[in-house]
Amino acid sequence: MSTTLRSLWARSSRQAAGVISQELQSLLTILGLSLAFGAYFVLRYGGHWGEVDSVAFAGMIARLPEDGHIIYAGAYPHGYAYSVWAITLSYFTGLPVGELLRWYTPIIGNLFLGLFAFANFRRWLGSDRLGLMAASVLFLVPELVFTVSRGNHEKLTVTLTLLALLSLLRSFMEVQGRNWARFAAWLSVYYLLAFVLVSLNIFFGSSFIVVSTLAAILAWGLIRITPRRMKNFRNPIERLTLRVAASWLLVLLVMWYIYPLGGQNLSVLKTALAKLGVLALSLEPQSNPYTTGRTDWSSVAAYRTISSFRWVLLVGSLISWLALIVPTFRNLDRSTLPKVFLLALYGAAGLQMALAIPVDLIGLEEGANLQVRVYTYFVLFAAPLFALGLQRVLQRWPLLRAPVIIGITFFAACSLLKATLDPTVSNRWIFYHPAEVEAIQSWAIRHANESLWVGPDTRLSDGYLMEHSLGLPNYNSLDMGAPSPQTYHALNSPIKQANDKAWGYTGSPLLLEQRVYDNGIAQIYHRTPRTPLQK
Amino acid sequence: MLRLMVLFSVLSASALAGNPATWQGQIAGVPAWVTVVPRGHEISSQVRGQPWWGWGNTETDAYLFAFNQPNNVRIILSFETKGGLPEAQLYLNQWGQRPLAYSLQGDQLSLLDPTLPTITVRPEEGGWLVNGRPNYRLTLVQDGLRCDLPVNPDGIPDMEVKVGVDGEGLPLWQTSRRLNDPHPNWGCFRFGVELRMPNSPPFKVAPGLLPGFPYLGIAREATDWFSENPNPLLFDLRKNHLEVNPFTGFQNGGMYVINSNTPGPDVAFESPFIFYNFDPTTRYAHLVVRGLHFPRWVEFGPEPYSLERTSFRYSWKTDEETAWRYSVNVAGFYPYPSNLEVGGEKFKAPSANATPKFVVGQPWPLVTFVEATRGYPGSEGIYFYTSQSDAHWDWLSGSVDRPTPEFEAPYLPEGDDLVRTSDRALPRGFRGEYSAAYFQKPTLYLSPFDGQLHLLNAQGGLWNLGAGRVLRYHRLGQAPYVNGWTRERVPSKQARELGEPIKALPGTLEEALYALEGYLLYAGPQGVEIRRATYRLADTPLAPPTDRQSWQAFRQRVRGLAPRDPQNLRGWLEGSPGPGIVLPGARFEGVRLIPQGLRLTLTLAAPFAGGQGLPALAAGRQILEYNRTRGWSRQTATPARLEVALENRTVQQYTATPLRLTLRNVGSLDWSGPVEVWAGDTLLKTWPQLNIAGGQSWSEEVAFAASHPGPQQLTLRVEGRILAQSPLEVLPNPRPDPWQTFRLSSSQPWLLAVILLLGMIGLWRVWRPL
Repeated sequence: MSTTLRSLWARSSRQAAGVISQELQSLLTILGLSLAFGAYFVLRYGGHWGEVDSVAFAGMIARLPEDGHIIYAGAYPHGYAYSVWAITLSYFTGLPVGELLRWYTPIIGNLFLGLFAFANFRRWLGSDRLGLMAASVLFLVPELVFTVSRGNHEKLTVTLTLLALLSLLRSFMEVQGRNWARFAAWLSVYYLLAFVLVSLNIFFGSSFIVVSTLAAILAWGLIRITPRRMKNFRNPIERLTLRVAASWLLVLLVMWYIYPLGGQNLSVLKTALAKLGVLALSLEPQSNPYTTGRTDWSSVAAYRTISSFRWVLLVGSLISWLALIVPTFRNLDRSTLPKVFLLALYGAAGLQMALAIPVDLIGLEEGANLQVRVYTYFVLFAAPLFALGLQRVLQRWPLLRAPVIIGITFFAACSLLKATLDPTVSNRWIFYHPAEVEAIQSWAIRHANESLWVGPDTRLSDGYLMEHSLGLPNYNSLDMGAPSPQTYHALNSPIKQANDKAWGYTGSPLLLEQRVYDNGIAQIYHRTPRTPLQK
Repeated sequence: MLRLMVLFSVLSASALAGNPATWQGQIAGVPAWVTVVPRGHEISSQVRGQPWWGWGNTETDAYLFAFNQPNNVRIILSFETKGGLPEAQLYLNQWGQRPLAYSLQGDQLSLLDPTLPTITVRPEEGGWLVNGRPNYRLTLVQDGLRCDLPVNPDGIPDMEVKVGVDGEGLPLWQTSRRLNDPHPNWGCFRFGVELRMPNSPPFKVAPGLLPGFPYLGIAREATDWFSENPNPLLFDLRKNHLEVNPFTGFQNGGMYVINSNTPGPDVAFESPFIFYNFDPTTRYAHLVVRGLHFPRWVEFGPEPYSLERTSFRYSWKTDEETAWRYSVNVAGFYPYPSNLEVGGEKFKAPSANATPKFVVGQPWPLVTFVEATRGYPGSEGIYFYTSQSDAHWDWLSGSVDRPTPEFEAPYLPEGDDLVRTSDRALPRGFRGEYSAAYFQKPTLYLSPFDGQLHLLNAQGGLWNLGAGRVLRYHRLGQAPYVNGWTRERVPSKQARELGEPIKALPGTLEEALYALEGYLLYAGPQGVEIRRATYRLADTPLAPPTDRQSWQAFRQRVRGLAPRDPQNLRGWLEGSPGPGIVLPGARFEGVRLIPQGLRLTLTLAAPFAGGQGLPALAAGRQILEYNRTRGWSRQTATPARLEVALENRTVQQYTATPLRLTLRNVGSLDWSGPVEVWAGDTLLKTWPQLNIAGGQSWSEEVAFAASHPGPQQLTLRVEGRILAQSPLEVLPNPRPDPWQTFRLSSSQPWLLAVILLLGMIGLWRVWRPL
């Protein structure tokens, strides 16, 4: 008796240990992978990187405590929560905002991405292994790695969207299992996350609500077309509709009462609708972001190569979706809720991305890259379908494993090159040398109400502002693009010259003037006055 | 006297006791209906025998004013008593542009469109009258100003006006402050002050329409501020518009005005605007000073906003009290120093006493001087050829290397109507002089030689004689006075925008006169005269007037001026007799000072045997030089010819490289003309008018950065022709190795390799075979 009990206990312990060990291994694997991507992003340039959105947020975050309110001059108009989160981290750690954004939050963003994706996908796909594969696919998407690494709110909006989707699914599953306590817990988590997401960014934070809304609309359409086939899904769809409606109320709550500054998003919507009307009537785009950007890369071939996984993922996930949607719809009674939800949400996310294209073509001031930014949210639905499809391919043709692994490695390398805007492939360099920033600071503290030309692009301005979030002292400013006639000083450095060459910019005549500063890396030149009124 | 012409009045037959009563008659010559709505009292038949303003009171009643038609009510003036003080509410639809919609049942008046008053008037204390005289201690609140556009009221007050009084109870000051500012970036009026200065002409205002509310008037004639102030609340029947006029006065003499589009205390725009009166028997101003000031970082006015942008127009009259005669204009970077307070409002601006010295008592980088030789009417001074043009700020801010071209070549309109280019124009009969690098106090002097007032140390100037002719002033050498006059006919064919007047571009010389080195050099249609003469180019300097005393003194000084006829420069010689020679049919050009003397290019129709110190001269063109110790000498004139040295260099793609360009004039005649340097199809630099004296060289470095590698041609174009070409080799500059460009430490690549390896292991663990 006791032997039997002991053997039973030992067997169950081994099984339990195996499960835990497998979960733990998967968790450690994805954390390690996330850490590697985050660490590479930071260390590629030794922490000396900056780009335009990160600079904007660094400034907004740094100015928040000066006012002490979430609405202040220069506050982010689309949400307040990221600034609050970042300044809280800055206070807790004692780190300056710029340093926090340059060194730490890229790693946090990648860790959140891997961790939340794994937690989410393993539930959607019903397998740790598949969840791990799907989570790793996210790191092959350079736009996503860049998004969660740079200094803006998207490291939270993207990753918390994953958690919100998990809570959505789990709350529906708990209803099916009649586990009301767990249902209430997941429901609370869902609404908490929805509130946080909308507070982060009313546009992109509500992206998953838009996707859910589109899915509910499509589902109601199906109910109308085939009511008998959909009869078992009527209740979940009703619940989804209620959930979506309540989520929109949260959006309005934040936009109208908690953060009225976000109310201007409605005017953006109004402008967008008006411009869409113009586009529909004239069929002439007022902006076309898809034709620009090629000059940002060393060559068209390089750009296409490092961006190729975008198409692989799109096509792969679409094939997988098409392969699954028909049998799932035919055998709707026997299909699992996660599977149906995943397919529905993928379709809705694809539709959302397609709808973003005409919005990009109308050229809103708020940004003409909506489709690119929505793509990162679409990837969250595409990755599990891509992993699912790929697993089936590998099961059927095991010989393809080696080429697949080589391909994954290749795309991972491309992802890192593109996400870090590596100078081997990019002209839009995001790195700077500390001595360049030192030169700017030395100039700025010795002058007042003047401007320093730092080159044709924003690289050095971004670099400076990532280290000095509140801008230049003494009302000085940095001049970019073609030098202003009122600019009497210009900065030069080997990196600037190299970047100018990469862009194909010709050097400014200002750099032929008097050299008044040199720290070994960066030099500053002063234009000789030609008139009594020039300095 | 009221501007009210009552031809006849008819009592409304339907008027009953306790009900409104309507008077019909004419106001300012227009058929008018005034309905008086009594509240709490009746209009008895006995009262109806009095004028209509006696039918009601100005504490509780209402008055409806209709014009041309009985139902065309444009003004409703409703009185209430609040907290023991009366309050007047003025209802207007679009400030009088449209009829008001209302309902009147008995004494129940309800406004329907608009429902809110546009103007509310309250006394600070007391009633509308104090001791039988108007109470000018008032507060007016205006609602219905979208920026400065008149609209209907929305219940949010837009502007508050406060009025204060002097010891006699007359309006002394008025302040205006914008209360509601939904468009802070629009250039609206936001803060204003009107102050009657000490010793200003006596206060005088048109009588009001209602004796019990003496601020409202209705008129159909233009306001003449120099006769009396119009009613502060004046309904203009020509425009159907209610004007709110300053209680104190406006552009009449003795007014200090701030008109700011910032809320203060750092005022911007037309601040201060001061109308000095030096003769209280008239309401005209004799000196007007208009400041145009934009403090640093105020994003109104000309760019760059990083500068303090301060300029003044300083115009004064002499003997004609309705015509401005002179104007000094300055521009620079002075901040406004003093803190002033009027009616409790604090602002930074020079006071009325300090402003003249602020303008003409300190150095400025840019100064112009203008004389309206035939006078110029108006209340605001002389607008032309002014430093207050936005166009000058490119030069003042150092953005460009050359001053505004209109200093040398202003627009030359025949009339003095104000148009877009007036600030850079000299209309017919106007003279102007300038210095774009003055850096001293604006100082004038009288020239006994031409009988004109001039700007000391002016860089140039001219007199628009009309019909395309100008008299151009020259100041050769270091002398601070004008010593050359040329009358020119400007080119009639000019590239210009539609409607723009011609400009004073260099034209055909008609007459020239120079007073240099003790000689008078004259050239005209009859020939050339060179005369040894004694002349005086300047009297003692003269400062612009700053107060009554200096104004009187200035008038005395200029009263005896007898300007010479600009159409006859030959006649000017008559005032300076002396020995000289006359060379019939000759002409000269290129007059300039050289060390120890002067030089000119003389063209003779016939040989000259010599005399009066001049050597014998052959017919034709020659160089004539005068040396103080050696006297006159002659050189053969060889045509100007340029030789070019372009550096033939190898440059690197993308890298800015200096290329030296040298031009040598190997002729003895001077050369001038436009020069351009091109690299391939790229224009590197242009010189619109380069001057190279005979036998002299000119050299300058031009920066060049090529975007494409390969051979290129460096081309020098002179007056549109290719003068020289030089091959240039642009070496390719390939994309650099980024790893060489950016490496913080030698260990960095290893660290990255380890991270990549860990990442690869992670991927392998995820995708390894099952």
